[in-house]
Amino acid sequence: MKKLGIKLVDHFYTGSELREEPELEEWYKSSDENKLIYENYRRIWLGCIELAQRKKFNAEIAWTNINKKISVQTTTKRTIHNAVYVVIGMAASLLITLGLAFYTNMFFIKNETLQLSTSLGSRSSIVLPDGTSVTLNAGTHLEYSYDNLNKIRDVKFDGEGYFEVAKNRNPFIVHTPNGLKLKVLGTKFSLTAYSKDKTIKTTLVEGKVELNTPDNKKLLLIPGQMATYNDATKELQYSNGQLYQNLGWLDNKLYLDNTSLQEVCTILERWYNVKIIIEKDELSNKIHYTGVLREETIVDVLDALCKLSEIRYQVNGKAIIIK
Amino acid sequence: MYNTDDIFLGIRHGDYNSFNHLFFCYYGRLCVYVSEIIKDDFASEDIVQELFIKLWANRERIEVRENIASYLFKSSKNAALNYLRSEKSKKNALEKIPFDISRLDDDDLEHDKILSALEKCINQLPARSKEVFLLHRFEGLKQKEISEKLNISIQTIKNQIWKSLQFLKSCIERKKVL
Repeated sequence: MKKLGIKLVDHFYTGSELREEPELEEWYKSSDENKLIYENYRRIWLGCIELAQRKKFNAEIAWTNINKKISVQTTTKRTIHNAVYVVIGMAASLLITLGLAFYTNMFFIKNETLQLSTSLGSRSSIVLPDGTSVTLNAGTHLEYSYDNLNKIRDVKFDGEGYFEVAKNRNPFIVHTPNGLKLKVLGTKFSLTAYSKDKTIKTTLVEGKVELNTPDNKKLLLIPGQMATYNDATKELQYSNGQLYQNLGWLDNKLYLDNTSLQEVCTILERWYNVKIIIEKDELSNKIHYTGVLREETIVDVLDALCKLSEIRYQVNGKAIIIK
Repeated sequence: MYNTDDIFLGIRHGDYNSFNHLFFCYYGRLCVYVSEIIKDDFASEDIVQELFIKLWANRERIEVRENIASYLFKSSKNAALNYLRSEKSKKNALEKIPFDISRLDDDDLEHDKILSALEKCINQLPARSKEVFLLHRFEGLKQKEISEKLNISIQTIKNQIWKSLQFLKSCIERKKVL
């Protein structure tokens, strides 16, 4: 069959007619089964060509196009609503106009909000209508809206993400769960702000970011700087550390810097969508790790942790028990 | 793997992320499908993009009777045929090769399933065969070019491709789509 097989490959490759290949033709005609085998190989060959064709179409570029058009459409709709209000307003009495203005504010200028979420154990990259791209880590929720009145790009954010904010004269403001605000124009930064965590961390890669706490404390970051906000003490300060540590999750690396077992488990629960139970409570804050983990599966990570410390684990479906 | 019908539910509820997922899942295949009908790569990209923009704009009103895949293929086919009609009236010419409209939608879906299975099987190819196979089929390299690049004989390449084909056939047959 091997010799025939090579002939078959040549025949497909050169696109020759079956009758030009006497040996192959003879084999093909000798039974219905062979005809079927031939057909199946041909379908695979053609299928591969078609799969290769798909790669000609660049979905990334197309997606940016679609994003632009969708955001233009949303803005046009809003302008039409406003125009209708002006026309009616002119025809009606001042009182009615005021009434309508109130209505318009209530119902029409309310902007479209985009809601995006990643479940535990999954990540996703998206482009917002303004062209900003965001990579969301597991268990993150983001709401984007454009405040047409104040010309602000407004984002409510709970989780971890890496932002590349599209340059635009309208400020881009991120609200974290505990009231910290990040104001940016066009920059690249990473933000860790899970509502369940006590602290918020942000790292600036490029551009400028201004941080505002609920009690009006301010901090300005320059590229390469990191800041931490502690929800309990309401303290906002520059923090030490390496840039790559806070961005490690982007390429699946887990940087540990005197990180407690408890904290490691919280991160792993999010990344891999598992439940980790630490059997002996006193272990959670007693064991600390420092180093980099770059492992593919949860089992690999746990094995690595076992080597680094005196722990053992047991997998029970989606639950993992650490002893 | 996401269930694409769950994704559509997300889109209905205004989840842009689901919309993004659906887009990346289907963009390439729909472009190939439309391009096959209208014989124009550029126009087919426009048609498919327009389709997705409409899908998002009308997300609350759209009724998907079967599954989202058949919805997408059917609407692209309609859009493609509309395009051909308008092109025809524009040019008033019949030079375009008429597409066999009798080809059933079920066939298209079946075909798409085979391709998805094939894609999975290609990813399961043993490393060495996969390299040769991908260079050959996907990068479009000539056998001679591959032979220089990987420093192996043309005969070896042919053997590898034949091995890969055999592997793909049995892999696909196991998936029971062929």
